[in-house]
Amino acid sequence: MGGWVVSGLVFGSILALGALGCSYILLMQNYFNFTAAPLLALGAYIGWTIMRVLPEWGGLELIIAAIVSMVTLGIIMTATDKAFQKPLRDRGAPFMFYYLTSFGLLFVIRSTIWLIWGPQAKYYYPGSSVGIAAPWGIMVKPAEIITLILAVVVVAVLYFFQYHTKLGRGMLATSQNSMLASVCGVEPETIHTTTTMIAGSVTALAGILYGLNIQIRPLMGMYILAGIFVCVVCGGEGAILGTLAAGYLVGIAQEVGSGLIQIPLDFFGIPIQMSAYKMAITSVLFIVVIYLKRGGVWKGTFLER
Amino acid sequence: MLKEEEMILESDKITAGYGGVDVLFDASIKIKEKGIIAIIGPNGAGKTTLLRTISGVLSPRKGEIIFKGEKLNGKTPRERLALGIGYIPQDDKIFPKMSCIDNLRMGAYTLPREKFSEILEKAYQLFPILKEKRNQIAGQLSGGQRQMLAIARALMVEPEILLLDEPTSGLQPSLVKEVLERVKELHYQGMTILIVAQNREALEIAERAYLIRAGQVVLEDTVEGLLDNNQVIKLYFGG
Amino acid sequence: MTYIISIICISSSYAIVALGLNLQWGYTGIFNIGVAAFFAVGAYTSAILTGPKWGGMIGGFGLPYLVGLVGAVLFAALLAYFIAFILRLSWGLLAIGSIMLSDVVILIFKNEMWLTNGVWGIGGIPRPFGEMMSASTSDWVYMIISLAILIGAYFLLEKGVRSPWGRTLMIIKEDPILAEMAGKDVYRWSRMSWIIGCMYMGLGGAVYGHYIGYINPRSFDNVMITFLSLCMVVVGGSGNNKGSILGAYVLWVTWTGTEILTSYLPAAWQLRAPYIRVLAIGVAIILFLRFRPHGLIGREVAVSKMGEKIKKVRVE
Repeated sequence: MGGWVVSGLVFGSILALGALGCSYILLMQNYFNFTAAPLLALGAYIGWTIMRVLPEWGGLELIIAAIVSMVTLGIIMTATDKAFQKPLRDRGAPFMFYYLTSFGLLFVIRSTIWLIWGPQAKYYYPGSSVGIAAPWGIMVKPAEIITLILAVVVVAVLYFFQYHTKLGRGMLATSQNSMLASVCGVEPETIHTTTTMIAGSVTALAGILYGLNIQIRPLMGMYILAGIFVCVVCGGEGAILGTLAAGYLVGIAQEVGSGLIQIPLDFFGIPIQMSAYKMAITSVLFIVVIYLKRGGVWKGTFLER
Repeated sequence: MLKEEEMILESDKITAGYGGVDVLFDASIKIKEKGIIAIIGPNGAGKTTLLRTISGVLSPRKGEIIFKGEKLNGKTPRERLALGIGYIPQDDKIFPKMSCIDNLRMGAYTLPREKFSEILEKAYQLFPILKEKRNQIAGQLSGGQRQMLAIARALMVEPEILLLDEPTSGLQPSLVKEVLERVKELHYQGMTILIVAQNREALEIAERAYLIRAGQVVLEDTVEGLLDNNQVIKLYFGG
Repeated sequence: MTYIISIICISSSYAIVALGLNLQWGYTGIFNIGVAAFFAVGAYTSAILTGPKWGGMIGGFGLPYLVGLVGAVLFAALLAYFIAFILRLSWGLLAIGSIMLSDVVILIFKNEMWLTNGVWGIGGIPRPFGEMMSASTSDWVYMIISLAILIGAYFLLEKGVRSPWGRTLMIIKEDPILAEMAGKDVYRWSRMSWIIGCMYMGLGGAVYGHYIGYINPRSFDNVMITFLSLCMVVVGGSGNNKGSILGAYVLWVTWTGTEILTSYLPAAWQLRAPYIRVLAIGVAIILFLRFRPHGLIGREVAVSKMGEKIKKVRVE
C-alpha cells in the first residue's frame, strides 16, 4: 500500500508539472493548450538525445540534458506563440482560432517527433533500476526520489517568482485585471513571453520525468492529458500550490484506486489487469470533476495561492 | 514663452469605438495646466471611451491626443504613464485578489524599489485607512475604500494629470463628499484633473465642463454657466 | 475515375458533418471538439442496423438503408443530449470535455465486442440497392445518393437558418445578454442547435460508413476527424453553409492529394508518408489561420449584417 502511495505521488508530480504549464497558458492566454501533449514528449525526446551525446557523469548528464531541454522547449513555445498566437491576440480573434492553431501545432510537433525519432519506446537508463529501502519497508527507486524532489523544488521556485518578484506580480496583475495592469506600466508581451517560457520549461521537465520513470513514446503526452486537465481544474486554475496538491491527489487516487480494485478482481479470478486501466480511472475522475464543477462544488479553491 | 492658457492636454477630433462600431465622433476637448475639468453626459455617451483613448488603453480610429505638446498616437499606456498621465477607470479599478499594499506596489511598478517605501508613506498620509487595511484583500473593501485605493494606486508615480472616471458612482453621500475633498486637495497641490461626472457634486468641484451626448461634444462652458442652464440641470441631474 | 467518385462521396460525408459543425460554431457560437464521436456513432449505428453480423456482436438485422440513416441520426442526437446534460454547454467545459468524452466513446467502440465486434470492425456494410448491381455501378449510384443527401441537408439547413428560428440563434450568438432580456432561454436554444448539429455529424458518419463498406475503431482517429472538420468550416468561412461544403471538398482533396504526392516518394520513405502528410497539413492549417482567417468565402453577408445591427443596438 505504501508503494502505491509513493507511485501515486511520483505520478502526481509529473501530472502537476504538466498541469502548471497548461494552467499558465489557460490563465494568461485563455485557452487550454492541447499542444502541451506533444511538447511534453518533445521535451523527453530532446533530453534523451542530449544524453546520448554526453558521457556518463554519474547523473550529471541527466541534469544537463534536462536543463537544455527545458530551455529549448521554452524557446520553442515562445517562438510558436509569437509567430502564431500573438497575431490572433492582436486581431482579437475568437477563441476557436487559438484552439485550432494549438491543434495544428499538435500535429506538426507530433509528426516531427515520429519522423525524427520513430515509434520505438526509448529509455533514459535502459535496464531496470534497483530500489532503495525507505521507511515503512517501501522500496523507492532513485528516479522516483529525483522526481519527488524536483517537483517540489520547481513549485517552490515558481511560487517565489510569482509572489515575490516584480515580473511575477505583474503576471498576477495581468491575470486579474489586464487593462489596469497595462495602465500600471506592465508590458503585455513581456508577460506573454514569460508565460510561454515558464510553460515550455515546466512541460519539458514533466516529459523528462515521465520518460525517466516510465518510458519515452511519441504519444506519451496524450496518455496523461486527461490527468493534466483534472489537475488544472482542481488546482484552482493557476494556484501553484493547489495544482501540486491536486497532482498528488489524482496520482494517489489512480495508483491506490487501481490497486484496491485489483484485489477483489484477483480474488474472484477476473482476468482484468487494472494497470492497463489506470488512465481510465483518471478519465472517470475527470467526468466526475466536470459534473461537480458545474454545480459549483469543487475542491479547487482550498489553496488559493 | 507661456501662452495665456497653457494647454496641458488636448484631444483633437477623436473618433473611437469598439469592434468596428464608433461611439465617439470628432471629440475635441482642451484642459489647461493645473485646471480641473469635468465631462458630463448620459450613459453610453462616450465619456469612458474618451478617457480610454487618453490613457492609451484604446486606440482612436481618427484624431490625436496631445499631451504637453507631444502627440500620443501609438504610445503604449506605459509610455503615457511615464509622461505623467494617471488613469483611474470606473469599473475594474483595483486588483481584486491582491492585498491593498500589493495594489499600491503595482502602482509603483515602473518605479525602482527604493522609491516605493517613501511614496507609500505619502499615500498613507493622504489615505490613512489604507495603512490600516494594508494587508486586506482589495476585493473585500467597501466601495469608498476601493475608490481611495484606486486613486492612491494612480498617485504612486506622482502623475501630472489624473483622469478619473466616475469616482463617486455607487457611493453613499458622505463618501462622495470625502472622495471629492481628496480630489480637490490634489488639485490644490498642483495636479491637473479631468473628471467624468454623473452627479452635481462632482461637477461642482470643476472649473469648466464638457457635455458629451451620443458620442459628440455638444456643449462647453464654465461650471457656473452650465449650472445656470436649466435644460442641463433637468436632463442630467434631475434638478 | 473511381478516385473522383471516392472523393465526391467522402467529401460529401464530411461536408454534411461540416454543415452540422457550422451550425454549432458559425451560427450559435458553440465550440465542439468531439466531432469524431458523433461521426463514429452515426457510422456504427447504421452499420449495426443494416449490416451483417460478425463475431459475437449483435446485429445482422439487415434493415434497409434509410432505417440505418435514421438510426444513425437518432443515436447521435441521444449522445448529444447526454453530453449536453453533463457538460451544460459552458464553452470552456465543452471545449475540453467534448474531446475527452469522445475519446471514451471511441474506446467503448474499441472494447465492446458484443456491440461492435471490437477492433475487428464491421465489414460488408451494404449499399442501398447494392445487390442489384455490379460494384462499379453501385459506386456511381452511391455518389449520386451521397450528393443528394448532402444537397437535401444543405437546403434544410439554409431554410432553417433564414427562418425566425435561425435569426434567434444569431442573436443568441452575437449578444446572449440581449437575447436573455428578450425572453429567449439561451440554454435551450443553444442545446437545440447543438443536438441538430450532432445529428448532421451522425448522418455524415453513416453516409461515410456505407460508402467505405468496412469500419473499425481505428478509422475514427478522434483528433484527426475533429481537426479536419473544424478546418473545413474555418477554411470555408464560418457562418457560411456554402463555405462549409466548399471547405470540406477543398480539405479532403488536399488531404488525399498529399497521399498521392507521397506515393511518389522513394520506397524507403513510404513508411513515414502518413506522418509527412499530417505534418504538411498541420503546417498548412496554421499558416492559413495566420494569414487568411476569414476563410475562402468569408462570413456570409446577411449573417454579418445582422451581427452589425445587433452590435449597434447593444452600444446604444
